[in-house]
Amino acid sequence: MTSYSLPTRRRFALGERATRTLFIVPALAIFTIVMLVPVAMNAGYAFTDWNGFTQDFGWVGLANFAHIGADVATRTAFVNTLVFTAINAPLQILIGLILALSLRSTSRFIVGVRLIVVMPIAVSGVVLGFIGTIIFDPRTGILAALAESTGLEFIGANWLGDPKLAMAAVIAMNLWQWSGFTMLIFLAGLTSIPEELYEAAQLDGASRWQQFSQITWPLLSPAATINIVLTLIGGLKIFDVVYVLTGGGPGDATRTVVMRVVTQGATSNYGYSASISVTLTILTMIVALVALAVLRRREARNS
Amino acid sequence: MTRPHSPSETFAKRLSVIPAIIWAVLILVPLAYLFIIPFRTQQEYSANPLGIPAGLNFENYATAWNQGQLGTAFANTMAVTAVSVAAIIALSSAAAYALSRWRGRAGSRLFTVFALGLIVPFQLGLPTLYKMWAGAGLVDNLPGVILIQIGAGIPLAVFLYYGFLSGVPRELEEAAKIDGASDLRVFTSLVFPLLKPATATVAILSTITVWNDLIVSLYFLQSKANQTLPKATIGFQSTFNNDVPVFFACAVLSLVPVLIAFIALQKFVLSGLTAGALRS
Repeated sequence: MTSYSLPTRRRFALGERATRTLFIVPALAIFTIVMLVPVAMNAGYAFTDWNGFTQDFGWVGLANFAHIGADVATRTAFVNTLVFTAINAPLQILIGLILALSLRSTSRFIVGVRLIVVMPIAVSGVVLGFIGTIIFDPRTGILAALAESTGLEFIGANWLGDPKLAMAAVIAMNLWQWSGFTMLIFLAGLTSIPEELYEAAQLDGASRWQQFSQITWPLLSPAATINIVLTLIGGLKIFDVVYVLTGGGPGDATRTVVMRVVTQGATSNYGYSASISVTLTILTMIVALVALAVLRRREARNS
Repeated sequence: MTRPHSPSETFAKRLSVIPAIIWAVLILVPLAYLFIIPFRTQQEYSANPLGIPAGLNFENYATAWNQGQLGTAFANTMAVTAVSVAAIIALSSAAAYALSRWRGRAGSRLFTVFALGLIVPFQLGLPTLYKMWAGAGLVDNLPGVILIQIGAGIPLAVFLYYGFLSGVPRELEEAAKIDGASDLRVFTSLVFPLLKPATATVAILSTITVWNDLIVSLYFLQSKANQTLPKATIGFQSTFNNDVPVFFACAVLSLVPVLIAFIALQKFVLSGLTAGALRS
C-alpha cells in the first residue's frame, strides 16, 4: 500500500487498472449476453403467463410457482432429480475415490488403466445413447447375452423400458461416463500430499488403514469438496444422459427437472416453464452454498 | 509392524489395483463393441448382435460418410470447435489474470459472478437466447453458435485459470514491470506460457463440450449446410433406423477425432486440475 504514495507508481497503477479492465471486458460481455441476460430474463417471465410466441403477456405474480406444487408431472420430475442426485453423488464419489487410490502410482501400466477409465469423458451424449443400447437392449444388449449364457434371467431385464429399473440404468450410465473425472480430481489431490508423511507414518508403524484415515482422507478434503459440490450440482442439472437413454420414460419414471422445463417451454407454457427453472436454480444454489460452507469448515479443521 | 516396501506391502499394493481393472473392463467392453459392430454387415448383426466380425469391412463407414454428407458436418464441427476453443482460451486466461491480480476485493467479487455460470443450468436460458439471436439474425448461422459456445465455456475456463494463477508467483511480473514492460506484454510473453497445464486442461475440456454439443445445434442450426456431427448422427439414426452397423459407423467417425485429441492431451489434465481446480 505504501507504494501508492509514490507519484510515479500511482500513474502506473492507473494505467494498469485500465488495461486490466480491458482484459476482463470481452469475456464478461460475452458471458453476460449468452448466460446472465437470458437466465435473468427467464426469471422475469416466471411471473407472467407468456406463451413464448405472442407479443403481449400479463403478470400473474406467484401463480406459476403455486402451480408447481399442484402439478403431478413437475413434482415427479423434482422427486426423480433428487433421487438421481442422492444415489448418484455418493456412488460417483466412492467409485472415483477407489479408482484414485488404486491408480495412484505412475507406472506405465497404471497410467494406461487411468487412460481407459477417463476415456468415457470424451463420449458425446448421442454416442452415450448408443452405448446404452449396446449394454441394456433386451434383445441385442450385452446384459441380455450374459443373462442367456449364465441363466441369471434378471440381468437380462428390460432395463430402459421398465419403470422400476430405468433410473438404475440411467445412474449406471452416468457413473460409467463421469467416475473417471471424479477420479482425476482425487488424483490431483493425492499428488499434492507429500510422500514424507507416509514414510514417517510407516516408521511409526501405522497400518494402511491408519495412513488412509490420518493422512490421505484429511488431506484430500479440498478435492473431496470440489467433487461433492460438482456431483451435487451435476445431479440437479442432469439432462443429457437421461435424454439420450430414456427420453424421460418409460412414462415419467426418469423425467428430470431440466427436461420438464424444456418440454413445458416448447408447449406454450413459457411462463410456467420459467418458474420451474427459477425454482431449480434457487435449489441448486442453496445446495451448492450449504455444501460449500459445511465442507470448507471441515477443510479448515483438517488443515 | 510393516516395513516400507516389505513383500506383503507390495502384494497389498498390487491387489489394490484390482477394482480399477474391473472398472476399466466395464468401460472397455461396450466401447469395444461400438468399434466392432460397424465392421459387420446388417445380416451378421441381426443373426448375432455381439458376434466377432469376419474381417475388416469398411463398407458401413463408406455408406455413413457418403449418405450422411458427413464431410460438411465434419468441416462445420471442426470450424466451430477450433474458433470457440481458441477464443475461450484467449478471453478467459486474460480475464482470469486481470481478476487474480486486481488489488482490493473487486477481483474476487467479479470472479464469483463468473463462477455463478457453473451453477446455473445453461439449457434454461436457451429459449430466451433463441429470441435474442433471432432478433440479431444469428440463427442458423455458425458464428452465432460460436458466440454461444464461447459464452457457455467461459465460466469453467475462468474458474480453472483463476485457481491456477493463485499459485503463480508475482515476483517475476513485478520485476518485468519495473523494467518497463507493459501489462499486455507481461501477460502474453511471461504469464501465458506459465499457464500451459491450465491451458491444456481448458483446451481439452472445452473441445469435448463444443465438439459433442447437441442441444445448441438442435436449437440454433436448421439447414443441412450448417449441420454439426452430433446432429448429423441423430438425423442419420432416424433415416437408417434398422441398419445399426451403419449409424454406429457414423457414431465412431464422430467420436474418433475428439478421442484422439483427448488421449493426446489427457496427461496435462491432471497437472492442470491439480494446480487449478483445487486452488479456486
